[in-house]
Amino acid sequence: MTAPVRPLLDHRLIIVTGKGGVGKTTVACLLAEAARREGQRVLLAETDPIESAAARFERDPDLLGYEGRTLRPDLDAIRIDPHEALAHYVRLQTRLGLVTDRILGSETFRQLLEAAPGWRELILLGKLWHVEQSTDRRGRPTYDLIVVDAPATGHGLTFLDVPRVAQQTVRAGPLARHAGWVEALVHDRERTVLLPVTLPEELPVRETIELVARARSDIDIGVDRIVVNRCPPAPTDALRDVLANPSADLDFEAWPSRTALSGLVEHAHARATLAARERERVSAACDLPVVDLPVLALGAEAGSGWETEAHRVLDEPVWPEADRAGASAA
Amino acid sequence: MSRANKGARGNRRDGVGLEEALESARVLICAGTGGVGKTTVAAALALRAARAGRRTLVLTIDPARRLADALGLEGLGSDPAPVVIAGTDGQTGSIPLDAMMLDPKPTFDGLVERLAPDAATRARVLENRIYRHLSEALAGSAEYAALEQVREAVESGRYDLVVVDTPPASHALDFLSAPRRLREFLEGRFVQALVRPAMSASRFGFKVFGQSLHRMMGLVERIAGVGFLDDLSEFLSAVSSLTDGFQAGTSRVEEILVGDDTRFVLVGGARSGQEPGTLEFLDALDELGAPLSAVVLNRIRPWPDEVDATEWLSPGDDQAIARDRARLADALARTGGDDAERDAAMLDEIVREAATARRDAEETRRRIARRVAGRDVGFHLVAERDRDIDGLAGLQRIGEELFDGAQA
Repeated sequence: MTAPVRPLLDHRLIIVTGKGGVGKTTVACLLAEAARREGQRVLLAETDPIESAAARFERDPDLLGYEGRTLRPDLDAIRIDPHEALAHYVRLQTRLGLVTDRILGSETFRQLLEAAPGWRELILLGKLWHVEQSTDRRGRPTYDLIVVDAPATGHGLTFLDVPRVAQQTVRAGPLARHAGWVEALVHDRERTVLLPVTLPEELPVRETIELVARARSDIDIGVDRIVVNRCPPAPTDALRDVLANPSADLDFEAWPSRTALSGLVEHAHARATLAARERERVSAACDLPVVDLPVLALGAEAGSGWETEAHRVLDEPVWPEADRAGASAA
Repeated sequence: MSRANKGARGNRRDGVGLEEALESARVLICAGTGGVGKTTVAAALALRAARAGRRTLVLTIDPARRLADALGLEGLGSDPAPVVIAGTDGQTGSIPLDAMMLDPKPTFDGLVERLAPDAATRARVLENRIYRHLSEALAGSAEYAALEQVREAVESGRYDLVVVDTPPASHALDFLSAPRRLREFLEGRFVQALVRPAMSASRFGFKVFGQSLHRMMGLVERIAGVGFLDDLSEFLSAVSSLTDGFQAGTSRVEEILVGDDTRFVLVGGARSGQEPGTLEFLDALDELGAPLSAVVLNRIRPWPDEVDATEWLSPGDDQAIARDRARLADALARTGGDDAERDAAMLDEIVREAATARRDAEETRRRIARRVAGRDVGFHLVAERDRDIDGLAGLQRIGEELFDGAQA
């Protein structure tokens, strides 16, 4: 339990996952930026049809699309569109440019795709595998690190299970072989790690506990820490007391009144208490340490300066019970 | 909301606020993105309708533990159960409120069980290799299964009002368009071609479609391996044997979704970043022609009403804030705080965060209000809670706050 956790940046593929609304895209961007600042060549891969990562780096950005583009030195970003990835894959397999294009563009093929479940997930992972394998002219990997902003599906980790399922479903042929390669990448503890993001709130924590259990039992993918996003600040008793005390004779110029401030601080205290409970619960239930991220005071839009906080996502994960033991000993 | 407005409807058939919906709607659907407190709002509204005497069912998806406790849902399956009033507020006895959990992970299996014309078909579908592994990914199936449960409750005749908490979806239309998507899929040329009895499964059947389809099948088999198409067409033909049941079911579900007695409440979060999802839902509801009764903006962070948050955050007061921090640090030092500077900095952070949250919430409120301007749509604000829900009494207080927080 106290064994040091392998640094995040030692992996090749980090899959940032979590329910919608927990700040998954923000964490993926922090991580990509932090890795770039550490000197790595990074690819940030979006999977949601609605792009949102580029807007953290540029105001009114153009679409990334399947070709992607460079957002910062050493940081490229793409959005993996399943249809384009499929066309790319089929072209690589068949080398029949025009005929293949005509088939892929046909209405009947579109309907086949509507009917065939699971291919989106498989082709998404296939593309990630392809990027992971790619090298530059000198034979070095094109990217040191690939950060994936995973689909915010209601079905948790289904997409990571598809390579295994696909092999059972298709059994033979190149697709089965390729699915095997992709599955090996998912399971490889050296190269791949799952990074769950949660909020210190009851429902996100419950979902994270289920997600980590499934990652271990069904998917067999490495997971070594949980990012707890938007941890609220916990006011000290001294601060609460001084604001609650009418005889403190505190008149402020710019801040709201002492009583109003006391209300805000008491609310913050109550939130922080709930948050501490949930943070401890998720850590204990998953038997994993946590990385705390504060509410991004600067915001997360381009130009807000959030990049200065990016390194915090690389902090050594901590064990919440140990904090408490340390605090009560002190 | 004045009752004189009753009957006055915009061209989108909007309701005239929540009161009207609770009094006369038969179905009230709470829509909105995940993580905005939809489940709590649905429960609070159902409790209010039941207190007013209507036989009410709340269909909930994934309640927080304390909410589930309040509704008596702990350990219950997916059968409606009466909510017992344990009189923390002196009111013991029962009100006509049932609660039921929608299956949180509705599987296709239940649908297959219900819709299969006979046992042989049922077995054929459930044992198909592709079905076993991938039915979860079939377009809209989970959402459709949830809607089926809504339909059953409405058609049971046991309730005056069914309040529905919608399942989380990454995009607004996932839930609302599930019946249409499933039907389109089943009626699609490809599926129909595969399952027409004269052309038994396997690629032989595709030959009648001519060269291009044949070539396409060749391409698929080249990549996916021989045998895959047989499995796929077997799967599709098995699923399509359920088509009649589906088609009847989907059209009845759609009737309920856009029926005259159905109202929608859009629940949105006040946090920054939650607004685009809420606006997307507004679009989706309009596209569906759904009658919208009210917008609830939930989890508004406390902030002193007499202070304008936007103005407070505008630059220029840095000197004064520095003096305020110094004043606080002095007071803290006098009362023996061990790190006055750190505490003063923390207060500054808390105040800024609260002001930013209030500013964002007001901006969201303005944008949504602009979007529904001129329509008979109520607007309600609910404050962020700083503790767990305290039983039914706590839920009732949220209901009261909903109506106290109504805005013109």
